[in-house]
Amino acid sequence: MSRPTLEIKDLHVSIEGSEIIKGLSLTVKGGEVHALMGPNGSGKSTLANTLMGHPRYDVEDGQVLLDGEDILEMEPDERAKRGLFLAFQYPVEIPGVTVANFLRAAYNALHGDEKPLSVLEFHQLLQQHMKELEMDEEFAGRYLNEGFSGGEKKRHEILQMALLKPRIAIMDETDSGLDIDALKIVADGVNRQRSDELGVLVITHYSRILEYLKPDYVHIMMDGRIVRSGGPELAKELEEKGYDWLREEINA
Amino acid sequence: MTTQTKLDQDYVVELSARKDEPAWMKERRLAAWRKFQELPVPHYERTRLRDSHYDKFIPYVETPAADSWEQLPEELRRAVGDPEGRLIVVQRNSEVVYQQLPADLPEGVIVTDLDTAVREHPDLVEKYFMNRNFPSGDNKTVALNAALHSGGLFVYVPEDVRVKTPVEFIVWIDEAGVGVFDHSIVVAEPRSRVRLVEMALSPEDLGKAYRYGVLDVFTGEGASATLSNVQALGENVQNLVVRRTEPGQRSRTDWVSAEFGGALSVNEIDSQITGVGSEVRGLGVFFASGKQHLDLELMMIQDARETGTDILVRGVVKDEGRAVYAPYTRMRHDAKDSTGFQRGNTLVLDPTARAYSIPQLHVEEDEVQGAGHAATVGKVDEDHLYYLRSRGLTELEAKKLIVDGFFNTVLDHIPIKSVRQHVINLIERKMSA
Repeated sequence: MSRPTLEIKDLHVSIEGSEIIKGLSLTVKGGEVHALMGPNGSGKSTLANTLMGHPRYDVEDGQVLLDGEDILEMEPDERAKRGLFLAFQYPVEIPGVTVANFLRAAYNALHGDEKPLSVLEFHQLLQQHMKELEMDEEFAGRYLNEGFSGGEKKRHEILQMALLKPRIAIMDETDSGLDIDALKIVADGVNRQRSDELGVLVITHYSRILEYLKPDYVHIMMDGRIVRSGGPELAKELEEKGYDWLREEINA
Repeated sequence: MTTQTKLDQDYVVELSARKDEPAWMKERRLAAWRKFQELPVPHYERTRLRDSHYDKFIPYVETPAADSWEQLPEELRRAVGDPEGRLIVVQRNSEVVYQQLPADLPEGVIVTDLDTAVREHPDLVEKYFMNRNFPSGDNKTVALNAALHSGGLFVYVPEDVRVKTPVEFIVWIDEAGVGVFDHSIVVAEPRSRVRLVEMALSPEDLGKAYRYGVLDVFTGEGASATLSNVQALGENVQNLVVRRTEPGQRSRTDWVSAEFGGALSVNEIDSQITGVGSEVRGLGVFFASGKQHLDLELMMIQDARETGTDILVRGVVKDEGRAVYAPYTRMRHDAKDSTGFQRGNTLVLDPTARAYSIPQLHVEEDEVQGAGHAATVGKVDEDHLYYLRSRGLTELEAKKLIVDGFFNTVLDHIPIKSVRQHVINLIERKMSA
């Protein structure tokens, strides 16, 4: 597998006529972890869902290239098949669909051609990944996200990421609502997957998760744009001074 | 051989003579025939029946009996699966053509076709055939069936006997134009137990055909009856069926209905609950596609203390399919300390499909223990689709998974495994079409 590249070029996105993302550019490559930080309402989740192809978001201008190929006209499943993954901030509950059935359908959709697994082989693979995320065996038989605690939902997202082996993973506020133990388990789960064949974009409000994920780059997003980019030290600075500091500096 | 016959009183007399029936049966056929002519077409809220739904059929076709399972049509055998160890009665068009009973059927249990039962157990049939005034009123479909009935199933389970093997009654229609009038009677004496699985099937490419079916159930005190039906007739077949019971005290009745086939299908299930402490459940799944119109009418009349009814139905409509879910629960003045619940959900897959949900709950008794209904009609949640598609599933794969899940919560409650599997296969077939 080659090293993946996700290039976002001058992206403009609106929802029901109002512009949320106002010219955003960012490149994420395999082996890199980028953190995208910003206050509520800055457009972080809009970016995540636009990249994945949510039908409610309208791209007004710009390009998103995955390995040089524009993915903006693609359906979400086509994007997934090219290796894009989104860990949802609010995974939906789908009653009646078991975790095991869902994951097997997803696995077969993405990897069924190259390496078809029997039901038993899949079950073993699933159990192994679940163990690493300290998830109970009976979890596989539960209905998708139904009655899951906040921590279980997020762990389930990381389980999918581990199983589906994406090339570019976007994590949308995966840290929100997690206690410190769950946060460590989730971060470890991501760290285990780090390689040159995976690029990660971590979207977060707080710098807490970054202590465990150790990003290579940190970007600050405000009002639909990236207003500053830097190394890990930028997250520290932000934590000490708060978003207002940056807002004042930009407005000055 | 099929001939277009003029349908009148003389024909009814001739049919009875041809079957060499006793006088009382001929009289009951004639009484039913008169009723059929007097009665208006049944009124269903969202299914408009007309006289033309009752006058297009060939009333009888000759069908040779099969000496062995292998002699039955291949398509039928494939649909039913391996017959080994099962209790199967097969009606093909107008006649029951095949029966296999297990060797360990308990003593005193009768399973046969109704025509044979009239000959061999006339007292029993005379007692149970069209011999109760059903309080929900006369019905034109029932009257026509009783006048022209041929084939049909007769099951009798004596007191305290529990029949382990489900009784499977297959109605196979493969003659275009035929009218099929299966009249089935199930009698479960006090403290007995019986499970019925009725399957109505036909080749998919069959032309127009017309089924008017009746199932009359009699459960004694403390008896238990599970009455399942899977309707997967071809999409040109008209299917009008009435099923009814008046269960005894502290008995348990489970209706399970799966409506998948037919051009126009009305499945009316009436429970007149006069036995103190008896419980009746109505479980249903339906799936209307193409240009199908499916109507599931579940009626629970509670007329005794400590009775319990529970209706749980889930259905899907797609293409230009139409479906009606019409549960009706009435808790009369005598239904003290009773419960009556209804839950129904319909999933609409295409904007061209229509679903009608018409729940009715009438509580006339002040001191019921609980009553309530919930009904929803909705389309597939956009965010559910998006979530699944973000994991690589195509729109169709995602919808399949959602539909499976939607039905799952009801399928879990189907008490007979083979029925559950059959329904799963039918859902799969509909989603792949």
